[in-house]
Amino acid sequence: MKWQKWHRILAWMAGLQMILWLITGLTLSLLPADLLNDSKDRVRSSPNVIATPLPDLTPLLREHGDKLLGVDVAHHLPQAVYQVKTTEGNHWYRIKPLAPFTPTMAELTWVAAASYSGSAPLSRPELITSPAQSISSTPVYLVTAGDTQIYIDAASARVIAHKHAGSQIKQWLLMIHFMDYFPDNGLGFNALPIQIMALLALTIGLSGVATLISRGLAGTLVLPFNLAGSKTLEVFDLENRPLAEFKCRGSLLQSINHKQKTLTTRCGGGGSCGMCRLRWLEDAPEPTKQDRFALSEAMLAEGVRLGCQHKAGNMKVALSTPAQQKYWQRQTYDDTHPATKD
Amino acid sequence: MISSAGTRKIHNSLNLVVGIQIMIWLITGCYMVLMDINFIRGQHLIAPTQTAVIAADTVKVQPADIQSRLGPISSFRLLAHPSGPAYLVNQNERSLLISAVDGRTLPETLNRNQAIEAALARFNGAGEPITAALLETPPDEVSWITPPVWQVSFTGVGQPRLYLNAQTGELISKRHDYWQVFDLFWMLHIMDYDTRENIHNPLLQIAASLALISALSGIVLLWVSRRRRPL
Repeated sequence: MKWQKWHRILAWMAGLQMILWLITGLTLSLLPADLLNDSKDRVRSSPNVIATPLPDLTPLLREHGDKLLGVDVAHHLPQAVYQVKTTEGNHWYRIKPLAPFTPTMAELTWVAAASYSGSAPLSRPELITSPAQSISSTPVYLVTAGDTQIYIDAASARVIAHKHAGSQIKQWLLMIHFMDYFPDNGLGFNALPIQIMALLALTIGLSGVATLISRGLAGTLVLPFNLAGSKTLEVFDLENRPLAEFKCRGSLLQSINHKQKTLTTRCGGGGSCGMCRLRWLEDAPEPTKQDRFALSEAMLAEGVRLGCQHKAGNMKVALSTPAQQKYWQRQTYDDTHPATKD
Repeated sequence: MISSAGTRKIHNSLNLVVGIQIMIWLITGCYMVLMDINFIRGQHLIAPTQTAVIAADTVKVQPADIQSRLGPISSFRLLAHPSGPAYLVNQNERSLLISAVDGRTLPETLNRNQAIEAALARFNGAGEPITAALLETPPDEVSWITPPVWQVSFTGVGQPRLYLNAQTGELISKRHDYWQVFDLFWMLHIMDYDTRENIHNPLLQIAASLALISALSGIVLLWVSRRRRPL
């Protein structure tokens, strides 16, 4: 039963987080996909035919010299712009006339409107110099439309992301699921708390499997569908007078309490409360670790064992405490004669 | 009110039903959080900055020359090609590669040596290239790539593979065996055995609901078992 002990100890340590994983995972799964979709009202631009004659690249090639990786024509604005990629980053140029690009308010508004399929009016672009790391590491413009926030890169005037209330819900759920409570660069899988908790949770799972297997092999696994066997368990009172007989199904506790709870238990058969202890009238089995943990040496010597820890069979056992007998009598007050309960 | 014995029956029975999936969640979850996501994404395989710099003085053909020769175009890009700087132009949904040095049209696909050369220019690992294949049907791990694509495989941990644009030699994606394990585990984690991306599937919702009831019943059992009554 050492597995069950570890299962309990680890569950105290990581059980709450396991429930949080299940709740957040289930919520993410149950919420409509459209609610969580950042891009639900985003329109992506498709390339148009380049109508403008493209200017000579020589000035750009000369300026960026040995750092040049490539030059692209970007289409996200009313007029195409050059995107010059260098080993140091991107640079943007207007095509006509060829000059460094800085977006105007009108262009930013145009870009926001072109990316938005909703009908709410757009706010004036607002510069955010230190946006959240999960959005961008460089300055951005924010345009709001209803509950949608449109983030636009300040250098290129490209739309970085759409966010809305659903995005915030998703962000919170993922933050709890990934245990990344201080995301400095967007939510990550590899936060130290989740690594520790994942290992603990895996150990809970493994100890749970080991408990199920060991209790199943011992014939004491508590299940709702334990079938009745052919063997008969006889139960006696404190003075060894017959109380009842039961068909065997799983442990003694399960067999006795199958139809009506007459033997007290608080933990329901987990071997932790010690309330289902019975005295074997003949051939007491070897005590288990749970027996040794819950019962004194004197009790063990008298043949007392926990009813939840031993498989029922053709055997005779007696109640072991006056409290048990009182409880039994109260539960069966109209049934004073020995009877077959099943 | 459900008794503690009833709660234990629920806990054990549900775990017999969804226990395997719970263990799958725990094992796959462990793998996904313990493996560095940047390693899984193959960031270590690629040099931080692209090294194929365009020699400015070799660019002799200007954009206006291309426009006057081809007419209306929908995209235009100057890039570093294994055979020298080149323009990638899109016209009527067809990509043309034109040398920026002499204006000639370049072949639609790189040859094997050029593909390996382009892969080596981006590869940051310790391995050596072992195979290079021009694929008309991309494998499942990069099924989103529009073919054709060059796959260059290297020796090394997890058999790194780079996928390159067959026309330009530009890096499209990088994969290794640990990525495939991650992808498999992600599929098992979200229980979408088809597209591997739908977290809103009923199988996951049913299993997670049952597991949640099991976990909550486990918490109840923890509480009722927290202290042994004195004998």
